[in-house]
Amino acid sequence: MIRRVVIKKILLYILFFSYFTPCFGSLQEEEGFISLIQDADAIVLQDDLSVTILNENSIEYAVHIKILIKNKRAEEYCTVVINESEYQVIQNIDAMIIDTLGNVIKQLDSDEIEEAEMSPGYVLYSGKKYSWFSLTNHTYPYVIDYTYTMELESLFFWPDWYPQSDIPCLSSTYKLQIPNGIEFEYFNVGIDIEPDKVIGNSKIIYSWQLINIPPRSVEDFMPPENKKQMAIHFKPKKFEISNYNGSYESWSSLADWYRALTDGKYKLSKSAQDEFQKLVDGIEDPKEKVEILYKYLQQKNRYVAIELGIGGWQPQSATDVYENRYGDCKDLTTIMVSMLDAVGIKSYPALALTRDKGEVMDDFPSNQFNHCIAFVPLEKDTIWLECTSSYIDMEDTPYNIEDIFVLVVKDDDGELIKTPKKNSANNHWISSLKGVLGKQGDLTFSVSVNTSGNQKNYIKSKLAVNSKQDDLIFLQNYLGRNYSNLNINDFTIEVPEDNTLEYNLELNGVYNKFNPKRGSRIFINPNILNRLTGKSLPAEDIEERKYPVFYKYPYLDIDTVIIEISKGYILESKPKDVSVSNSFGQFSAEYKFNNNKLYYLRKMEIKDNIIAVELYPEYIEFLKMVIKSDKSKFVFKRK
Amino acid sequence: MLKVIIIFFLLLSNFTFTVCQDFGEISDEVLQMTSFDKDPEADAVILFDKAQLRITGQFDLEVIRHVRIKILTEAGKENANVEIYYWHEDDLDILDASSFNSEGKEVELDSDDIFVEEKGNVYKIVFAIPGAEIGSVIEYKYRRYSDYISSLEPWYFQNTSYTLLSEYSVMVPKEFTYTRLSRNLAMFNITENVESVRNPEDFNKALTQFTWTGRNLPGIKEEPYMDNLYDEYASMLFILSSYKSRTQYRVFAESWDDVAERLSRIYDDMIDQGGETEVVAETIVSSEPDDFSKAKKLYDYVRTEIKTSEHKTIFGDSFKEPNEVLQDKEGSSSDRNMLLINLLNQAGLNAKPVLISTRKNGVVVPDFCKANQFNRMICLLRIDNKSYYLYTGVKANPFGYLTPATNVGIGLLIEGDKGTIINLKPIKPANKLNIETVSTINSEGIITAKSKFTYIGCTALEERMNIEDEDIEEYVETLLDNLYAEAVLDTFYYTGLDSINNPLILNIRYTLPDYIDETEELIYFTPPLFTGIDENPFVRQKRYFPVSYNYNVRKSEKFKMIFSNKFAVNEVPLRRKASINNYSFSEIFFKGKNYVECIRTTNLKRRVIHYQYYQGLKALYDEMVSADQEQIVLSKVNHNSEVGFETNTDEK
Repeated sequence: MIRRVVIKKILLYILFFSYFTPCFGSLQEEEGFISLIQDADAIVLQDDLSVTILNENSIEYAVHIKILIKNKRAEEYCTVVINESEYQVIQNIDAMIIDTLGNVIKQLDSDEIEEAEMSPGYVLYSGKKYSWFSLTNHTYPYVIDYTYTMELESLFFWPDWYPQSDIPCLSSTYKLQIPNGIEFEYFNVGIDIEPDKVIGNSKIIYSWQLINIPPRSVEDFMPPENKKQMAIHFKPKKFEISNYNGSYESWSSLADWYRALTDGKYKLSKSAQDEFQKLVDGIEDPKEKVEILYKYLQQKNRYVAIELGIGGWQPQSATDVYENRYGDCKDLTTIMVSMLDAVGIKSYPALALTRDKGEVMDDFPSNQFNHCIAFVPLEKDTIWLECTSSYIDMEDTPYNIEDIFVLVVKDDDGELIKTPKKNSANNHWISSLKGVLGKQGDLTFSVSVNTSGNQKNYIKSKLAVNSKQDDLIFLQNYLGRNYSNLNINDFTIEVPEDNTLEYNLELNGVYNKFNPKRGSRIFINPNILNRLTGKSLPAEDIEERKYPVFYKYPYLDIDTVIIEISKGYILESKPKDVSVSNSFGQFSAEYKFNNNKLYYLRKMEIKDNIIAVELYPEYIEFLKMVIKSDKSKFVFKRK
Repeated sequence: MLKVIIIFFLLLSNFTFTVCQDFGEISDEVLQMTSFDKDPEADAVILFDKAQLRITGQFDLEVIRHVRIKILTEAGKENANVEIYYWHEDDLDILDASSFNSEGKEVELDSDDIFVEEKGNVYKIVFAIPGAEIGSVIEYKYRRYSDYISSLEPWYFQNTSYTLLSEYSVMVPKEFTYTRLSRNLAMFNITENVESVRNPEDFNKALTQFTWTGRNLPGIKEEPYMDNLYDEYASMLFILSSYKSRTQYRVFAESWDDVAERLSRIYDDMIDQGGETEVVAETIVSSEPDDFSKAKKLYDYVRTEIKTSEHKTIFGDSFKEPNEVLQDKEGSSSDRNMLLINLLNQAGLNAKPVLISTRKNGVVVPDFCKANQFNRMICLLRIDNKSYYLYTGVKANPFGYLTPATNVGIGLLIEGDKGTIINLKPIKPANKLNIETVSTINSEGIITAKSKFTYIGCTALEERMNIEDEDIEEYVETLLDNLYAEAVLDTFYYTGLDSINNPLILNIRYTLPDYIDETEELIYFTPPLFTGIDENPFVRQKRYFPVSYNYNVRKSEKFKMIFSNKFAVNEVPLRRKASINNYSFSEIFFKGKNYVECIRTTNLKRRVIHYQYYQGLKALYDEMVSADQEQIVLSKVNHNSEVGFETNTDEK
């Protein structure tokens, strides 16, 4: 009866927009929120998370969610997936469908809950399971109302609060019951409220509530950290997992925990140590030694993640990795540290949150990491090694671990250090294409492409691991993305002797029917390889944009094109030269025609990978100018 | 081509054991091989893939599979991550798994590193072979026991990688008869050997061993326009038919009648189920004058009133009974079609279930009488000796038509205890897409346009399916965005959205800012064509299997630009034309004093293009890509008049 009244009231509110009065914790002006809920396909009516800390090692939490489903498009919210693991066990699941009058019209049958084991794509086996169900109705609107409770074996898994989703939410609460004596902290992201607090004899109850929560903003090219706009993160002061005690008091104490997990894992057999020593015999330069051993690691090992139980955080021993020739990021980092140790070079594992997942909250020491790399502090250099890649050069760390805070786990300390970032010039693409437009309009060409940094890593990620046939298909698609009738005759790859951080691609082929000379004119867009189109423009209008524009990395492109035209044609018009430079980028395009050859030089630079939202209007103008220039054509007329 | 050979076992006099490949016995030549001359571009080569099947004295099945692979590139290391799927009631043991480096050093898989994942009735064993690196040979061997000897899985001689040797061997007591079916073997020399071997369970008895061997089989990978990868592999099915001894006679292979008899025990009750369905059927058809209109009414009821849910099965516990579907107002496409069959029968009509295999599920082997080849149910309705094939799984599908995914040529008709493979003959739609655009250009060079899309047949079905659960405005914006990313949608409307028997028409009005290029004297642009392409999907040099489109279709697009006397036509591209067998393309331009017009037509007459036309097809797309980049050139005429949008120009 109570449920029926509540549902009715909520639906009345949605229908007449006047039930609640905005109060403490309301995030959206009522008028704006009403418009949001009118337009939404679904609305979270209620989202309650009740967390009970049972003792130092166990948590029970209950989730209760009610979502108004307005149409078929919203039915994705009727499929509920709950993950389980060795440490997280589902206690019960209950769900029902309620009509607009508050009547229960469908109840979830236990037979409808399906179970399966789950290993995410990059993990070969994890032993994790999930339960899922889907409960829908044939007439709209209706409310799906579900609850589930979980028991967690360690405070390590303390649930955070994410009150915001991609649909509007009328009310979200987080209730925490915690026995006296268990210390914890929380960290607000985009939420500016304090909890209600009820102090009992043996426990304290904290309650947070937000109402009228707008959906998450989603913008094109937004920084990963801005995708999470509201959250409260929790952490215990101390935790224990699989008999390993840990503390979140400081980054150093967290490093202590990881060090304990890796205790004894770095040992290698004498024969293995000898093998590594032999690889660097006669070499003095420690950097060269690191490079040799890193290449050895890449050649001999492969990425395979098997993460059972504590294996999600504890690496395999270096001996096992040495024998098996596989491992995940922490396994491969462990053997890398061991290999370097075998030749007298000190290095450390560093826990990282990859850039695509956001940024570490540096003033909230906690397990925020999803990756592990190796940190090698040499006397003259500091080297960061991405141990999972088979092709990345030693000093060319990929963008996902550039400019991020990592927790370096030293012998008796832990330190949060920021990794370096390459500038645009070190992420360059320099191409030079020379071609002849044949009588049938085919463009026969040769091109050399020189890349570095992350642009090189991208090309190498495609060319360094596959067969030549697959490489050819990649190149045909990649270099044919502006004009796809491409036949590549041959290509070669080389690393310049004087600069091993660069990567050269030499290629020749034919763009078929590039410009059949059939009328009195021919039109040639000389920008064959590197064109921006309208699809590169963010969708948000200037006044709408809330967040900066995010590039994976800064870059510099320089493209030169020379095409020889038949003497039977004269230049009728050529595009105007363009040159623009500003705080975030520069662009120039030059066009010339001499001796029946057209010349084109394009330079494009994005100086930093984050462009502040204040610069958005200027950025859009800049992009539009580049797009316009990139489609400009030479016009030739038959003599 | 499918061949069916029925062989009765012969008594053979020589008793021998099959010589199996010893695990880890690898020649130095193979260990030290760094490239493979028969396929220099290979990531890995399957040195051999052997399966030996044996029917035990207890009529159980034992399968021993032995695979050896040479790794040649970084990507080839993926082969060392092994996944083996099996039925949950079977037993599967990994006998051996190791890698051997180029010096022959072996690294063995530890049994603790073998994992099992369970999902429903299918289990998966996963393991990573240790020690694998470029140049390694990896090898694994496993044994599976199964109680189900009548459902041997097909043997695929080919794989995604080049296979040097593929061997499929079956050992059966001589009292068995069997059937062998094969597919795509014509281009390969598959040898067959029959011999008598001692029964390992009883040395006094003999088994007959059949061995089929294929060598040098190229790998086939997923490519665009492919219905089902496994349909393209050279494959074989070995089916045990019966067992006859002095004391015992057992039949293992089923006929389609056997399948029908078993299924009809489920289906007949569903077809005849009364109660709510009876009431509903009677209510719907009560005022209908004839069988055809009754059938259409019931079809429309199921099509529009019952929601489609995820497809699970065509029999078994998850297959919903008609009354349940009616009560939930929801069911999978097969559940809905069974409800339709029930309602039609309740209304006194003759409707039967037909099982089909969708294109993605693969081609049905008509002589392999197994229900698990099928994954959907449709309805065959007969009225006055005329057959109608009904499929309610898609709301926009008209009466008597099958969707492209379900229009698969053959199906299994279940009529009580009788099962018959029949040719499906749904109504053939004339599939067309006509687009007519009329545009003008103003003095700032902004193009304003109105386009009218007329979708007919499968194009209408596809379009209705696309927008059924979408935000229509977003959908149209995406359509326009694909034409030109900076296009601005003004207005749009559909007509005929719910009239599924009629063409669907979309009218849109939009502008194309910054679309044209200009010089002091000229403006020039490629005609903005919705059917234009900028990418040739056929990148590979060769193809060994057909190109399968969704359906045959004729697409015609007319773009017309009308302009004031501020512009004059300077030059239009010459006519482009190309064709291969069953596929043609043309692009023609017309010009007048104040207009220019482009008509682009493609006509795909058959949905499947044989691979022998692949090079021609590739060249045809080259021509299309090139033609779609051609420029219309207008001269600027020195007048002061303003150019405006002319109304009613799209009415003709």
